[in-house]
Order: sequence, then structure tokens, then C-alpha cells
Amino acid sequence: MGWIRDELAHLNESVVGKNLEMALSAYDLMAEHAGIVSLTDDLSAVGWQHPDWIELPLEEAGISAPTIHAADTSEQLKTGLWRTMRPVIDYERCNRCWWVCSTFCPDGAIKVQEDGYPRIDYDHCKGCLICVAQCPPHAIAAIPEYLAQEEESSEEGV
Amino acid sequence: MKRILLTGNGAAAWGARLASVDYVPAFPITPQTEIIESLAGWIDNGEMEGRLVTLESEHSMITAAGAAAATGVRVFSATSSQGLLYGMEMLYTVAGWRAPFVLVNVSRGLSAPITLEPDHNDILAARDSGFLQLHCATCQEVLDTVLLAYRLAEDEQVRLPVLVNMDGFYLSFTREPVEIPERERVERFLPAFEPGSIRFRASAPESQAVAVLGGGPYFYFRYQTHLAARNALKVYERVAEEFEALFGRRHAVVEAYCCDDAEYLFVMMGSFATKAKAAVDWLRSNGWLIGLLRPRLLRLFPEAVFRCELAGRRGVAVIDQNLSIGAGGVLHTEVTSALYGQPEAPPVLASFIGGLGGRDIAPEEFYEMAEVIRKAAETGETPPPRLLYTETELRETRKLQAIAQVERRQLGEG
Ligand code: SF4
Ligand code: SF4
Repeated sequence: MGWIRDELAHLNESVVGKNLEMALSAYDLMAEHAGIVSLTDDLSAVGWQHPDWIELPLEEAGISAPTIHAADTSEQLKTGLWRTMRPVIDYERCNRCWWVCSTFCPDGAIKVQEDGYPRIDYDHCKGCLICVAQCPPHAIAAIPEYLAQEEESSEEGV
Repeated sequence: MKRILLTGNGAAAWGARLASVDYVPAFPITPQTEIIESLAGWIDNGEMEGRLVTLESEHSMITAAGAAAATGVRVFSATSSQGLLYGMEMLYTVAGWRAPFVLVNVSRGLSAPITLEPDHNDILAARDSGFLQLHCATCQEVLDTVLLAYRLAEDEQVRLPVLVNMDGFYLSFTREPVEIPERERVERFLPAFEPGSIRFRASAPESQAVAVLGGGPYFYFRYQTHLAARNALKVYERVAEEFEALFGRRHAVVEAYCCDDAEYLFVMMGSFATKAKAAVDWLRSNGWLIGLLRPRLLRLFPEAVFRCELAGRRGVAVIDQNLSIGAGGVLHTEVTSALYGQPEAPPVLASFIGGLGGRDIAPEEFYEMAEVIRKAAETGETPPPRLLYTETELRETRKLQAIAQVERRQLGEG
């Protein structure tokens, strides 16, 4: 436990607390084994099962190239987790030029809606802040992601 | 002496910290590892001196590392897989500058298809660059090797950058008990960098790495780099001896495990060699005279050690965790060329390709390989290269391909 505290000392108490809790519950799970973790027997070097090795046949490239023939697979993978800064559009200021931010976003994470206002897809926005730099009327602000998340969770809490 | 549970990444960071490095240029984004994160944390909270600078790519990172080393300060950096390849142009360049520093690589299979698990194609792509290469099998060895690598790199008779390699996941993320040596003892082994002839100062400009034409001078400088690398063998042996005297751990050029009376040998490198070690124990308990040879030093290639260790054996299985596309296993090729024409060369030197993309090598596969070389030794005929790939694995892959096929049909592409 002291070890976990040492290593996570730089994080806040609640993170340390959660880690300690997880470690303790994992420890409790082992209780029925009375703390004894045994190794499996060494695999005997006589009479073992022979591996079913095969000769890999050559197949045409249409089959043997690693391609997924389907669209939208990246939609399902939320890559926005990397963000440390979050771009936030002030719709009061946005003058619906519609194209600048949405064109410059290298991740295609800004979609322009029917009403001409852009919307950022935070599941995929990486927080590169190129949109912030490009928006002509400076309608996009950059907010530290952790603050944005704290705000969100306190709103949810209300 | 302190022994704590450390990951390979943690061990590499501790190596750099104990070496009191002055400068750490780092590309901070994936595939960068926790090595840099740990160093950044220590420098930030004052536990470690030195300066860490983030750069926009591994290409710039290695350039910065070489440039800083050329001013006579001690430099450390780390990368992995695609990052090492992205910096490839500069690997050759800074080695040509004869700039001594240490770069840790966390091995990972190369794209495409992309994977996160280890094999050695990344580090072997840097094989001919002029960097010396040291391969580790345990987390302790990672820490120790970083220290050894500085002695090797900075030696007047060598003066070359050194790559220290560990396997991603198997070492980088796995905790093992690691002894962190005392600072005073490390300082005795590795005193502050004495840059000798390399003193690049703003007040005294000089041109490094000049252009040459006509082949003659080019040839001279490249070959000098080669000779310096060849010279690293005796320097390594001396330094490893000093290391053993101070810290009690022996890191031979080539680890020979249970080789004395062995008729058969496995040859492999990296952390998977510890699996071969376990297999050697089990086979020996069943009466096999078998051992393991594991090169730590891959560049320079210690062919004399191989010749001597392999002489008179009945059969040898070289297990490559890499694939030179269109040729086969790299280590097998190198061992074979070391043995050509040697009167006592083993009659059977079989090639096995295994562990690509982190694919495990099971105990029964080691037993089967032992069987294969024993049978081959009876006839004296080396079998063709063997892929450690099973029917079951192919079936799994077929399932994935079937899904891709269905999707293709859904897209109306036949
Ligand atoms: S660039 Fe600025 S003004 Fe133009 S649509 Fe985007 S947010 Fe609105
Ligand atoms: S911060 Fe970068 S990724 Fe995110 S919406 Fe703006 S331009 Fe796109």
C-alpha cells in the first residue's frame, strides 16, 4: 500500500484512494486461495503435445493484404481521449463563415450543421487548436481539458 | 542496496538518472514511452539535474541528441518502433559524426499491419547505421546496460552512439525486482563524461561532418567508423569486467547458459530467450544435453565468440524474432556467415522464425525445435527454415478474413 502511495504521490488523493481501493479488492479476491499462488506444473519435456505447425501457403494479395473492406470504422474508435486542451465555439461570435474551421481541422472533427453553425465532435477532436488559430472572428476559445471535464461533471452532479 | 519492483521503462529511466545525463531531447508523443515521462517528472521536481527538451519528431530528437553529444555533454534519449524508423536518416548521420550517446529502443513490430507488441525488426533496421547495439533480456539488465553503454560510447577507442534494446510489453511494462545501485558506486564506474577531442563551443566554431567527394575520403571515414565499432568488443569485455567487480553482475558479450557439455543449442536474443532458458532446464531434467546462447552485443557482431561457442556442437536452432522480407531470419544469416569454412562448425544450423508481433513461443515448441535439430543431426542435413505458426492460428486469421469478405460483399464489390 505504501508502495502505491509512493508511486502515485504526485496525483491527487482521490486518484490514490481509487487505486488503493482497487488493489485491496484484488487482494480480497485472492482471499479464498489463502494467499497461495501456485505455479502450474512445468510442462514435461517428454510426451508433450506436438505443435500443429503448418507451412503457410502463398495467397493472392487481394486476400493477404491487411485491409478492412468497410466504412466508418474510425467513427467507433474514440480518439478524442488524447486531448489536453479543448476548443469551445462561442456561437455569439461565430459569424457562420462555415468553412474555415471545418476545412482546417486536420481530423475532420468539425461538421457544419444545416443552420450554418459548426459543431465540434469531441469524441474525435485531438485538441490541436488549429481551429482556434484559424477562426477569423476569434470565436473559438481553448480551455484546459481537465477544467472542461470538471465543469461537465459538476453540471451533471447538479 | 535497494531492490524494488520496476518496469523495463522504469529501469531505463533509472539508468539515465544514475548516469547523471545532462541533456534529454525527446519526442513526447506516441510511440514514446514512460521512460521520458519518468525523467521529465524527476527533472521537474528537482530529483534529477539535467535538461529535457521536447522536439517535434524523432528525426529532430536524434539530430538534437547528436548535436548535443558533439558539444561534449552526456546525452540520453529513447524511442520505439516507428519512431526509430522515422529518425533513421539521422541514426546514420550522427553515428558518422562519431557522437557518443545512448538511445534506448523499446522494440515493437513494425507497420503494416500495425501492432503494439514486440519483435526485432525495428532495431534490426538500424543494424547497419553505425550505432552499437546491446540487447537486454531482463529489467535489471536494462538498467545495467544503460550504464555499460555510456562507458562503451564514450571510450576514446570507440566514440560511437549506442542503442540499448528491450522488448515492448515483455520488459517495458513488466515489473521485475531490480537493484538500483548506489550513486557513489555508479560514479566510480561511470565518472563525468570526459569529452577529450570533442569540444564544440560557440566561442570556437568548427565544422563537423563535412562534405567529401571522390569516394576516397568517404571510404576512409565510413571504414574508420567500422573499425571503431570492431574495437568496441575488447572495450566491452573490459568494461563488463569492471562492472562485475563493482556490482557483482556479469553481462558477457554473449550469454552462454548450460553450454559447457551441450550437444544442442538454442540461439536467440531479447526477453524471449528467458523462455528458451526455461525450456533448457526442462529438457535437461529429461536428459537432454542442451543449452542457450544469447548475444547481448549484436553490433558489433561477435562472430569469434559464436565460432568458439558453436564449435563441435551436433545441432543448433537459431530462433529469429524478426523477418528480413524475402530472405529470412537475420540472426540465422549472421551466425551462418560467421561459421562458413570453420572446420568445427556444427553440421546442422536450423532456422526458426517465431515470436513476430509478440506471438508467444510455447514450451512444446521449444521441445519440438530440439527434436527437429536432433533428428537433423542424425542425417547431418539442415532442414529448411520453419515458421512457428500453427493450424489453429491460421484458423483464427481465416475468421478475420471471413469478416472482411462479408463486409466487402455488403459493399457490393463481389
Ligand atoms: S471559423 Fe469561426 S466563424 Fe467560421 S464557422 Fe468556424 S467558428 Fe464560425
Ligand atoms: S482542436 Fe484541432 S482537432 Fe479539435 S476541432 Fe479544432 S482543429 Fe479539429
